[in-house]
Amino acid sequence: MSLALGSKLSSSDFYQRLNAFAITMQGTRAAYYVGDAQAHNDGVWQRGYLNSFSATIGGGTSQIQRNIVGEHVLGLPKS
Amino acid sequence: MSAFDNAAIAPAIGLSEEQAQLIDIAAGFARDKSPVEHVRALLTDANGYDGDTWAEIGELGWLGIGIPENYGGIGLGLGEAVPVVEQMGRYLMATPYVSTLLAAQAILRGGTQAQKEAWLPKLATGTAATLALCEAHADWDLTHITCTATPDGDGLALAGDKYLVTHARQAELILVTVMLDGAPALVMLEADEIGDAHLRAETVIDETRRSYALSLDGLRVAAAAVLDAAQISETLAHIELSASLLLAAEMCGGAHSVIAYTTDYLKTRKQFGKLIGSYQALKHPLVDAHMGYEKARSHLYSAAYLFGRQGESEMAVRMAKAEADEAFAFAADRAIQFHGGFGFTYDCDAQLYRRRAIWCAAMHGDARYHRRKLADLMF
Repeated sequence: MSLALGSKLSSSDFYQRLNAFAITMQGTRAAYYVGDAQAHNDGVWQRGYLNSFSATIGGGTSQIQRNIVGEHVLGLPKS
Repeated sequence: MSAFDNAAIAPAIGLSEEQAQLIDIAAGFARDKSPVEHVRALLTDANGYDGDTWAEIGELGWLGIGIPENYGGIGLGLGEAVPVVEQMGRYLMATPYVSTLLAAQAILRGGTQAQKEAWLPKLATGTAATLALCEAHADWDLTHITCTATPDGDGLALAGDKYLVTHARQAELILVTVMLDGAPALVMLEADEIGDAHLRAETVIDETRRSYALSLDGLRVAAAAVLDAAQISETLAHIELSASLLLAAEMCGGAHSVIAYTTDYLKTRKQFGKLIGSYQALKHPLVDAHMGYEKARSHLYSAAYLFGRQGESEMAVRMAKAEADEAFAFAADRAIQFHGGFGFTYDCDAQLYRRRAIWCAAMHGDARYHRRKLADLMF
């Protein structure tokens, strides 16, 4: 149950942290965005990070996902 | 004994009268000139700022901060520019203010007497200037330079490429780091010496900024355009700390704003029958963001207070940049998340702040970079 209900939460959270971390590895080039010749990996990490919120928000926010796992997996009382 | 052991026991924080006045005046000015609708309108403007606003900043004397009166400035130290930059950052202003202040600091610290007399009075009154430091290697070490200046007749031939030169097209003066005779050097390039073909507008994550790639190949400068070689190390170190201080100010201002923006939303938006600010999952991290901002701001004003003081200010500035980096990034990141379905759209203002936070972290070293430098100072 935990894996089924928690996988959106973990994967979307991981994707966000992965892209954010990749940005921090770019030195001054972190300032670039998609479309610049100097953008590292064509700016995919920067765009990936900004787009990652569509997964941490859409389809039930990560906050709601935590409520779901808390209530349906751990049996915690509803607030 | 490390710098840490030698640091004064007395608390190093205090607001000068000038700083206190400037916070109020600058807040009113920035609020007036830069409501967010105007910020958005300027995103598609070629310069990214209003010429009128820039002229007024010059008239207010704010470009003279940190420039001695005998060079046409209003005196005061760079710490007095902190409240001005902070309030400008709060309202996402994007004029050449910081780049011009930094260029002036470079000339003041590292220029020849003739260069100081020729340029400081102009920079103090509204001539825009900027620094060309970044290269393709993306290293924050300002002494890591591959661009060159080679003797060529009675002048110097420049070669190589600079990147992320803010306001290069809008500046009348660009200070460029190059290798000259095997050592770092700063040279002055004037706008009319650079053809349009040498500048390429860049696509950067913070859309309020205007930055350019500058191709040096084919450009020549006079020998008199080289700054004082004896001062270069000190000048580059001063540029790094000055820039870090002012970026920290900009980030603190932005953090304040994005937290206020999110707080307003949490107090008005209802979901599942309740105002979303009542849910602790949102309330508590927003409080964490606020506390991070307050800590960063304390570090900022301590650094502003100490700036220029031998031995103490480097630690304070690096702490301020590191803290502001993280506080702003976290606050803007949560601002996107907590605006829900609206949050990850272009229309939500949170992205304006998050993009700016990434930009500021990329300039002159992120939190991790400054902490590494702090470790070297402390141990």
